[in-house]
Amino acid sequence: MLEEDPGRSLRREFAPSLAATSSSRIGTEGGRSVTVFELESGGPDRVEDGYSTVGGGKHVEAGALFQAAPWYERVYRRRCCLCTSFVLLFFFIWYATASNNSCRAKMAAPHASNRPFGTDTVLMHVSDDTKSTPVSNALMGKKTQQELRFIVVGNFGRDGFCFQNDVATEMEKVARSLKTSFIVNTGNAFFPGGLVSLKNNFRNSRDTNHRIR
Amino acid sequence: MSPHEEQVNTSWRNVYNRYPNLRSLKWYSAIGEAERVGDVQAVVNLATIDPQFVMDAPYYDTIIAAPVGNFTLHLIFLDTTALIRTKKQQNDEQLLWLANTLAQSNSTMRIVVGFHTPFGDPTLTAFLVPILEKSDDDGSGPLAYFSGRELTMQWYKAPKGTHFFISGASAEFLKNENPFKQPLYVSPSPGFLACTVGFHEKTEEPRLKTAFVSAAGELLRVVDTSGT
Repeated sequence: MLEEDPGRSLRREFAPSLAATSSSRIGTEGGRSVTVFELESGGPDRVEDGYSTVGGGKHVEAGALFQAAPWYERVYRRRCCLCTSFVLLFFFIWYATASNNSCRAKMAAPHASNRPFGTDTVLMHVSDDTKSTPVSNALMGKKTQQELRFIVVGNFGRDGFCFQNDVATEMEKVARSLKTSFIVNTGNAFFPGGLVSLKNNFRNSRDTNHRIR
Repeated sequence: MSPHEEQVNTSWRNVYNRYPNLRSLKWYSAIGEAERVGDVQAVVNLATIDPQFVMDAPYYDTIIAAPVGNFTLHLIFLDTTALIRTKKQQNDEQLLWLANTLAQSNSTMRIVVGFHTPFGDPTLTAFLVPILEKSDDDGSGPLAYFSGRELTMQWYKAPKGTHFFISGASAEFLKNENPFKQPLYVSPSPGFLACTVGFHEKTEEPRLKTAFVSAAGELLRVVDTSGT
């Protein structure tokens, strides 16, 4: 009755593309995978979970199953390990990037408000009212009148994020104690894409303004 | 063509103009790479709408007189991004203008402001540094050159005597920015520069004192251009 080698039929089960010529039906029965081979010589030949149940059929070793599985099948069985390692890799890359970037790192500043500027329009008054600061003591000479004092800032247009608000608070203190005349801006006042004129708004917003609101 | 008001408010006006002592100050601005991404004319037009923001053109100069005392400060603003991107730096209009402006300046002292540091870019090292050095030899050299592209605060003194400062860490901060090969000072934290232009008490030479101030309010370093 059994004319086909059971190991060969098992290979057909796990590699159905190779067994395209065979007239087989693959299905499940009671939680087990069952392949029914309909051979010309007689009735159906049953192979259940790697063991042939046909009279006196040969015992098929489990190793034959794994040999027969293709590479993507083996990779798929280890998907948990793969996903975990990918997540760890991405976390490491993020941490290596973030540890070098002050925007995401915390800074020990007691008065610091790293929140972006909200909708409140109340003027913020710096609490301590000291007229002289270490900066003014170091910079102001004896002939205070014959001096021009100013502040130099750059790369600041971050909508209050990063250290922009902290720096602005300190600029206010220095401006008050030094009595600065003007501010020098070294560029990048409007991140990340500069200003867009209202007339060509559509074209510019599509091509050049990468801002996400 | 008016600029995008919302961007102006969120990036600049809302952050600084809520402080009473900063609201009255003018912002003399150099144009950066971020402004070059958008509409440059919109940035220049902002200066015509808002008198607090000063930018006559992508590159321009302005003379500021001291309130008391007889000296003037000549501020020269460069558009270094355009200087790098043009293909013919040899006879560039802006470089000729800069050499001319430095040579003809009658002010007591000059300060040049540009987005890029001349030493951070090979094009600027080849074409901008010789102009600054030549003006140093002629006695019309700038006291200092301020730049702001790198997210750090640094100080470097060229062999000819011009001081180069970077003030680009007013919002973001990076530790590993090295445009200068041998900087004399590198700030360990974000912040800004506070400067005083005046005269030395004894020698009566013009001098610039620059303080590195951190975002936490600490005085990090004071640089005096008249020696010491």
